[in-house]
Amino acid sequence: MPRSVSPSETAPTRYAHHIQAQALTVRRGRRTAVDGMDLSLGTGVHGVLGPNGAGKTTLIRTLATVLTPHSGDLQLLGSARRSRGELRELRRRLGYLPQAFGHHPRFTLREFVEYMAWLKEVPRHRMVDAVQHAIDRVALTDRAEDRMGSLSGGMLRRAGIAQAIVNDPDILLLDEPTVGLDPAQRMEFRTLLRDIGERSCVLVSTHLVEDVGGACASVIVMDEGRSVFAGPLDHLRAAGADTDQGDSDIERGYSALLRRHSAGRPETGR
Amino acid sequence: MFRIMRLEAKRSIALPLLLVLAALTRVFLWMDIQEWAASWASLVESARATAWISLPVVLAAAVWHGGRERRNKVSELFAATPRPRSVRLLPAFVAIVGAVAIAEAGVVLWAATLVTRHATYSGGQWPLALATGLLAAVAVTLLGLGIGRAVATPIAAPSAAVALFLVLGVNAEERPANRLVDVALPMLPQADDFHRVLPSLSVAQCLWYSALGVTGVLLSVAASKRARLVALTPAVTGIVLATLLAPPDAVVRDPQATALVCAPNNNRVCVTKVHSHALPALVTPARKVLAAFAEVPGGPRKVEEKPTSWKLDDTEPAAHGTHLSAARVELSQLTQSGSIRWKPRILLEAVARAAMFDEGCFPGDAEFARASDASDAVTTLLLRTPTDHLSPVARKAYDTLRALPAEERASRIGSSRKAGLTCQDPLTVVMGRGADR
Repeated sequence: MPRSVSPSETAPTRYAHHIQAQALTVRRGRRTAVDGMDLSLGTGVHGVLGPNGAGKTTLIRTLATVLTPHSGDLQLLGSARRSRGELRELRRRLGYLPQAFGHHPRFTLREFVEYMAWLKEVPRHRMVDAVQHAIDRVALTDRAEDRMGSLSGGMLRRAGIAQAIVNDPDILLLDEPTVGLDPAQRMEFRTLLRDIGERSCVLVSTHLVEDVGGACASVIVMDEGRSVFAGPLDHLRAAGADTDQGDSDIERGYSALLRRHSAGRPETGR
Repeated sequence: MFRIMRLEAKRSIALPLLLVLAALTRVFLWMDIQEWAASWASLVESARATAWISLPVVLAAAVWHGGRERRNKVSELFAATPRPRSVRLLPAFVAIVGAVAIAEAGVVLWAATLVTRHATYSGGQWPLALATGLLAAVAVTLLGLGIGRAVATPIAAPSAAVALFLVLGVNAEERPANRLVDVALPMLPQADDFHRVLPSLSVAQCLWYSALGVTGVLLSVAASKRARLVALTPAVTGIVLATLLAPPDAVVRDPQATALVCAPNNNRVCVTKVHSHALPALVTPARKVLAAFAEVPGGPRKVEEKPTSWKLDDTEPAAHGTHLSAARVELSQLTQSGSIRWKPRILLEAVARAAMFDEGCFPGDAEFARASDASDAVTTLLLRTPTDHLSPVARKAYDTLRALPAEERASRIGSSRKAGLTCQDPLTVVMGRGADR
């Protein structure tokens, strides 16, 4: 299906990176969940890896404008200081799949994605096509008229991705998007991510290393709210040794980085 | 927006609520149909009285819908979208408020078409009173939506419904008579065809319910505890202002409704304007009674409806004995078309009894039985009806009267009637003890 092009896609960009952060700090209660992170992410698919409690979800939520940073500088699509109008404009260009994806079970899949398109202020004349295109891209065309409450866990996750991409976002933030997907669906999903990453900045938080290896060009490894590593996938592969834990180069590199961080020796891939 | 509104109307609680509310209101209004089918004032009272069952249902549904986003865990997803919260909530709110308004207005419209056919007096205030009831339903809906968003727990909806049910479940006759209660409760203070509720009460209630609705809207869009506290300001201000504006005695006698309308020719049989349809049924028995009493000294010269009600006029100063020239009959049992529900024989007895004594004079059972026996004896004699239904005392009185010469008998009946209408014992007079006392 031909994709309609939004004006924002053809407008000249005035920023070097879609996501740029310096010393970004986010607190959740008394805990510092993200601690002084630096980020520079442009077009492409970027993975965020880290153990449970590393701060991945807090980082994604902050980038999705759901949480407000405590300190540091955060620029999204070149905008740092956000008025209500600027925030609204920014959110039109964001796609977000939270870790706990909720939905209205009485809505059909098409209705829910359409509702999300309305919330994302997709122009009315584009809405029907945008909804159909998003549903097609996650391979749920034949379930479009089914109620959300009747979809399986994997289908719901794909429905979550459909709503996230319905507005053709410039920044797509996906928190644990492959939970519940079977291996074939995960492969399709990676293909979809690569496709979207050709013109958007996609940030995928996951604890599944193979997802990163299959789809991401660069990786951020987080531990205890800090960035342990940020760089190309090859550098992550090279960070590990045969003696490190893991079944693949990426897993061994990931284990090695976390081990060194725990030992008080943080490293940078760049 | 219209597309999303249609979606919300289809998928939210709006449609089931519309059906349940319309069915409930119609059933409870139907159960009361004898009361209101020929009277605008009674329709208003009955329609507003259904609030005790309809508003808890409305509140529960609205609270349930208000908690939908948190219950379905979509708050975070929606928070990352550009559409402002107030705009996001609008389609569902319009759908649900619309459902409530359509259900309530639809049923009232159905009832109004029935009343239009038979009502003979409107008073002109029913549109405001019915609109106030509709506004109350809308306000409770908005309040429920706000509560649902502020307190999104599964027990919020049933708890709110039960609490409101307990508040509204107060018996109409036992509710405290003060301005705060009159304003706060959606049910009108007790009235009847001869009394009307002052429109200033409806105006005060409109103010209160508007303020309550605003509080509901503010609660819905409030994003912090402080904002939720501030949201209560309109409701508090509204109830205070409305209470100050409300009339101290909201129910007053309606002189236009109680104006008498008489049968053509001799103006001797009359009913109130509000019960004009009862006149044709009353004419025949009334004339029969007037003819029977024609020879009685001081007998009734006319039959008219008594425009007082036991519910509201008990506290009025006694006016017994001020209408000796008329037989004043209470027409409390009317059909849906406004005619008299009694069978002709019962109606004849009621008119004859009204000619003989004032029931309000004899609150005690024993006194009432004596007055009734005297009346039965006299009316059986004058109307020449069978004597088999007479009690032993009435039969003795009947025999006593029958044994008297015609002139003496007529005189004693006249004296007995006067005693019965001035709160003295008519039986004593009939039996010849204490006549003309």
